[in-house]
Amino acid sequence: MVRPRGSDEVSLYVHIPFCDVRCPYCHFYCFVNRDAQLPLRYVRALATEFDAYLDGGEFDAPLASVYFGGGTPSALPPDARAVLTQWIADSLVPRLSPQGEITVEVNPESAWAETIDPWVEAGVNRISVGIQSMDEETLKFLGRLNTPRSNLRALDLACARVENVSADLILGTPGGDWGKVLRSLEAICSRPVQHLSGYLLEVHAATRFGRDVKAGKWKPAPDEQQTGLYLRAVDWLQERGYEPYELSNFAHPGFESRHNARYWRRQPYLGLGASAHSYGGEQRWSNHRDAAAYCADVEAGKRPVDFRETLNADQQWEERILLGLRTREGVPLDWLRGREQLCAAWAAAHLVERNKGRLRATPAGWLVLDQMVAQLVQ
Amino acid sequence: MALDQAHTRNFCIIAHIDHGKSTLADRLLEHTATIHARDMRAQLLDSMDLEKERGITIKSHPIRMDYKAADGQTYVFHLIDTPGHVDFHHEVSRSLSACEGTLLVVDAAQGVQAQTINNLYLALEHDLEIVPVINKIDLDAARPDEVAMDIVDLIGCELDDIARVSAKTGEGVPELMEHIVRQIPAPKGDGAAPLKAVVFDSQFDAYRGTIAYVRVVDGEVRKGDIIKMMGGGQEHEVGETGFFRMQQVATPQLSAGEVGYIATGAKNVSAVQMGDTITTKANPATDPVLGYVAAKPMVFSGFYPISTEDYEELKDSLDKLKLNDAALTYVPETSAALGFGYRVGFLGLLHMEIVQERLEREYGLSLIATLPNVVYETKLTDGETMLVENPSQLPDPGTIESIGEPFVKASIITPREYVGSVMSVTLDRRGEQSSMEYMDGDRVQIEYLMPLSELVVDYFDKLKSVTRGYASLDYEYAEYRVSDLVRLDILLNGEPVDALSVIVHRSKAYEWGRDLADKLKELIPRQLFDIAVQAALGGRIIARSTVKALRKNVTAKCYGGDITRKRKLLEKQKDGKRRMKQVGSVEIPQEAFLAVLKVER
Ligand SMILES: Nc1nc2c(ncn2[C@@H]2O[C@H](COP(=O)(O)OP(=O)(O)O)[C@@H](O)[C@H]2O)c(=O)[nH]1
Ligand code: SF4
Ligand SMILES: [Mg+2]
Repeated sequence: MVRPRGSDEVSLYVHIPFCDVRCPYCHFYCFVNRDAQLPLRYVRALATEFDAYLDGGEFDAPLASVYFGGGTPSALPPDARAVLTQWIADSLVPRLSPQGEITVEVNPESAWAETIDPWVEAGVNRISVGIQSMDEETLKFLGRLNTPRSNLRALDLACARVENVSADLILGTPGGDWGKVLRSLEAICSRPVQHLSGYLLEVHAATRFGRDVKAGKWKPAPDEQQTGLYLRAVDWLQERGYEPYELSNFAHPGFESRHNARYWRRQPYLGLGASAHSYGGEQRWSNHRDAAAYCADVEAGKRPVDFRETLNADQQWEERILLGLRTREGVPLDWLRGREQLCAAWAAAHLVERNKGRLRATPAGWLVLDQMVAQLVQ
Repeated sequence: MALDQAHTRNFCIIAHIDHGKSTLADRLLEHTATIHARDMRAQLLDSMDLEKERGITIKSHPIRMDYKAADGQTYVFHLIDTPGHVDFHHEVSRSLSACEGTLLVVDAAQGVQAQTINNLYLALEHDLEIVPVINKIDLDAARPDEVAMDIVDLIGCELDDIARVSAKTGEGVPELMEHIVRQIPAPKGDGAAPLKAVVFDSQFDAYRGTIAYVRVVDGEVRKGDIIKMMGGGQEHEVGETGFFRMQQVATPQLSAGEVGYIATGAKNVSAVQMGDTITTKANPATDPVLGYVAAKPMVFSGFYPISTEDYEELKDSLDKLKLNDAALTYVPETSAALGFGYRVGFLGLLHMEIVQERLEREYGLSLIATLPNVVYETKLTDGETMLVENPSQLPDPGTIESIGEPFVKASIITPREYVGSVMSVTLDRRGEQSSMEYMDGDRVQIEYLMPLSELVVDYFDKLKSVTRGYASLDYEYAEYRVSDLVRLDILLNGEPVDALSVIVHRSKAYEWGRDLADKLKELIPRQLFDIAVQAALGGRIIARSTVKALRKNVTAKCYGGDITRKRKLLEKQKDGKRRMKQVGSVEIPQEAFLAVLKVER
């Protein structure tokens, strides 16, 4: 039952695994589709999976938020897109709570009026644009299909359609110096963008970047350079009213993503689609990482779940620390009893600060958060 | 039935390490059919896992064999395989006291080595008859004739007294058996006199209590006797007597000349001290067999559980090890840096390594061992003498009149071409040469008086490396001497870490300080802020280095609510930290506490 104590809403994450190209740094579950039937089957399966949760009586709360992520939702072919739009209008919007947020991720090269407008009409009220960079060279390095021009076009379009627009940015590519980052930030903020996600480039072993780096084709930018960029970007954004409310997320007050906040606060959510993760208070579970297998299961009336865990008290506490410290809110000091000495030392090094009975990481602290958390939960 | 002493031979095997004691023991067992061919394995008497793995003998292993000799008579052989490492000298010495003779095994290719000579002297001190055995005659590099000449020079025996064998192929073993019968005297105990049995080892058995391994010198002992430890004074009722085959075999009695065991029922091994003499309460003997000397720990190290909750378990584990290792000592100690632990005393570094490994492997403990140190005899200005077993406990320099440290007599045998290198590494460790003798052909024996503290760190490794493995080393305790010693402290972020303090000679303090600061910089992983590593001498900083702060360790994206993945990552990081000790706000890896051992010198 996805309605644990103290929570009267749930969120929905909907995974669309199709992309127009596979970016060399990406380790999400997504692929360039060659099966013409699959997208339609897939979006139908999403609706079926959702219905199964409803019919099973496992969830009956209003939706706090819905997030269509990927993959690239805007890369869906028209027929699948139409079905998806209908589903949003018929099944999701009626269940949305009054402040409810519905986000769709789009990539500039597939963000056109014909893609976006039907969604907005159906009830989508937040658009996240995968900009990544405003620098031609950096975009090429990242293997993206978008360009500085298509970026601006997509931003303008999104801003014209909804008030709440977010842009994604990748920092710390080799050769991506502050000049380039600044140009990207300025270009994005020249539009009425309310929200920004800025990620430091991570090189994962199982990606093409991972293989390239291992083979010595190029070297990641030195840590000092990456952290320098991050800290300058944080300052720059803050000066323009974008508050860092989580280590990778910045927003004008009132435009923080409701959806992401629910992950960090450990409020329940259902994940629909291949590889999607769900959380229901004490349990976490996730679906197959294979779109075809996912469809087959759902079509056969089976649950597409292939992993499930029940968190013990220690694990729950660890999660609270690990997620809480990602946010600007931080965590209550009394969750950290017995660790005062560590916290004091970190405070002296300006990695954390105490604020109204809570402990929160500073931007410099966020950069070493994994290390801090490992020490805290030791 | 009492033992027929005339047809009994009690002997042990001594040799330089790896010259083939254990393998030769295998052949004797096989030849006397003490063990069936189908049960034969290599190094049969080495029973502990560690002994098998490392190919070393740690404990003495007695065994009884029946040998049908050329004269048609059957003889009882009591053989004791002895440890081959200097740390266990004491053990060897006790085993010798249970015998009339010894096989002195010498490798036909390597010839006489440092331990050969020291063991020989030890055997002569015990008035043992020596049967020299040249082993490994099957080797291509064997030069038995030359080695035989050396042995003749060394012992003053006849060429004919030397047995030549291959413990590998068994060649020469039948002849060796006859050497044993012929050359080793029969025991001549008085069966009617009061009981005198010398304890050369002991073993703890959960059901039968402490089992004393004994050589009966006079009299006899049987089940039900009330025995008395002549040195320790404790009394026990004998639960069982017997002798050693591959297993223990109970017999109604043990009598003069016999090697066997006495189950004492004592729940505490210290109630049956090795080297003590057992007699009976009813009819006590007047003098013990040996003047009793306890094995004295020579080096000490602080053992601390990485996780403080394991403290009790560490204590229980040490208690259990102690049951079969009388030389092990430990007292609780507290370190400001490491919390509660034990100061553990060992016979030497090998002994320490073994204990540490057993605690970690058999008892599943994760430990930090501090750098081993010797015991310092500190004379204070007020006339008191204080024994310091832990560098951090050295009193304030202002109150110290002088510091004494143990010196050992080290003897080294090396091919002539390496003499220069040996001298220079030994001089570097404050060794004073006391003699140098040319041996056969091209080898030299050098004797040094040197501080034990210099020897324990890594002297042997260094010696081996400068002589391409050819040098052999043996040493024994000589005396305490006053040296110009100082305590070197290590500070991390300005806080002294007591467990990293070392006592060094003043002339080396600067070099050590620099090396240690550098080494720690390598060993301490980057953390959340800069860590200043400083070496200080009496409050003055003499060297420093900095561990730069970690700049980046974060998973930027937390996508689609996949928190499980993040938690798994965290688990991995936690595992990595399990071998680190949090000292103040700094995490120190286990190895850092032995950093000095890794300093290249
Ligand atoms: N070739 C050869 N090797 C031998 C002989 N005796 C022992 N060894 C080998 O020498 C090494 C040391 O033997 P070991 O019995 O463990 O020596 P210990 O340290 O004196 O007990 C082992 O690898 C044996 O296999 C021998 O007669 N000939
Ligand atoms: S478009 Fe997004 S999801 Fe698709 S491959 Fe690129 S980064 Fe990954
Ligand atoms: Mg051996």
